[in-house]
Amino acid sequence: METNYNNELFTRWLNEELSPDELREFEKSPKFSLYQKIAQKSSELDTPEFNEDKVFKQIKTQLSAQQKPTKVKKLFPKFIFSAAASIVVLLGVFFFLNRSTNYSTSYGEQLAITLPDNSEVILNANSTLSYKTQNWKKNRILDLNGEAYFKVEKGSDFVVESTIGTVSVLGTQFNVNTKGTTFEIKCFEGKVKVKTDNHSRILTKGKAFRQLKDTTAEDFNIQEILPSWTQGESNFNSAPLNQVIIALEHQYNIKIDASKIAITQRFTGSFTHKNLNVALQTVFVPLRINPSQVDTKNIVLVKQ
Amino acid sequence: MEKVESVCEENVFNGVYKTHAKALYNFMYYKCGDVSKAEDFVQESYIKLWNNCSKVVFEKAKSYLFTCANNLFLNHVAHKKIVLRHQKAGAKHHTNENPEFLLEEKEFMAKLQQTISELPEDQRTIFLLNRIDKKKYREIAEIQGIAMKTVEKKMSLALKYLEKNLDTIHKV
Repeated sequence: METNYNNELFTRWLNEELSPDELREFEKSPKFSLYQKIAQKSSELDTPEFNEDKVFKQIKTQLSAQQKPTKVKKLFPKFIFSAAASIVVLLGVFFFLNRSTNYSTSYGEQLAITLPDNSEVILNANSTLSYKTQNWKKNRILDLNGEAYFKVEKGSDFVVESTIGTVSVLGTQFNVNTKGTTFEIKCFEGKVKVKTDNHSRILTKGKAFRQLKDTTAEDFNIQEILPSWTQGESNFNSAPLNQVIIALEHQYNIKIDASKIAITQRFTGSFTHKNLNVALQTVFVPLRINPSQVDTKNIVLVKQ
Repeated sequence: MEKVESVCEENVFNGVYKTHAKALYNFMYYKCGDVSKAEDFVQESYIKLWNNCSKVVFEKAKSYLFTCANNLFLNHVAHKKIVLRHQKAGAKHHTNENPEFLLEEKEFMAKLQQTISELPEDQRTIFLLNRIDKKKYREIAEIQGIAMKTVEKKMSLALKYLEKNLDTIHKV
């Protein structure tokens, strides 16, 4: 009991919490000198030198070593990738909605096309036609470069655009020729509205309109029910010779050198699509022009 | 308004190091008795403090460090048998030094050190924190994360053991 009490006093003494009375009592205890010695000697003990700076330096080097990887800045921040992805998606959607259908023919080829609204197009040689699939029923607009025959179903405005002018119709059959500098429209049925920078016409059945290189306009009549070129020959009605030459070139994939003749002549008649020689003879002999073949691709026109 | 000190600021962190590193080192040394291990623990604790600086408020930095070091110690060498080698320090207070007295003192010191080494780790740490670092029981309880009553109890046990073992060598 005595020992326990002293031990308690000793414990509290070391924490400096004894009251003066308790302290006096503790000092009287037989083992006080031992307690005192333990307390004093143990407090004289020292710990090994702590190399504060060395450890501090080690901490700093370790911290800077572990910090480096976190300091790496990404060349492309993450949001760039999502932005790029959304741009790709947007472009995809844009092109999907805006995609257009293209048709083209090569020399001597013809192509029959049925449009989404069952309108029919026959594309003549060396021509291209394109239209936007999206919303076709409401927005019937085609781009034409070359010659084509259209059989249009009733519906919204049907517009053929070319570099020279536009043709809009309201259910009809017509032929558009925009080869070279020529812009020639033939109406086979119904009504066609033709508009170029300089001229505007409404063509009815059997009427035709032609704008030449010098922007002069010509109106003429046609007898055919269909454009002759769809039947295997090309028909011309008092057409400028250069228009005939271009038609020949596109039909037979040849080059015709007309520099030695007067190009101002007019041609009425037709040429076949089946035989180049026959075609050349039928066109040029009546005009007193001699087509002399240089090689398979080149023909020079000489006055007889 | 008083500025809130953040451990994430380098000068604050450096200050925390200056204030607590030595005490932390001693604490670790009492526990493991290994100079280089104690240094390692101090180092690791401070690195942990820096890495978690945003989560530790300035006032809690000290207890964070001690808890951290304690955990590190427990993980690494909890059951290792250790021997403390204390350097003798302190000025010589006694003028009446004769060879016999010096020998007795030396013997007592040796026995004291040996006995301290024999103490269980927790008792030794508490005893040395009180004797060498002059820490009050309340502070020790705080550092160790235990109740003050437990500290007193363990201190009492340590003193009992020391008293018993040193009684024979002590000459009045």
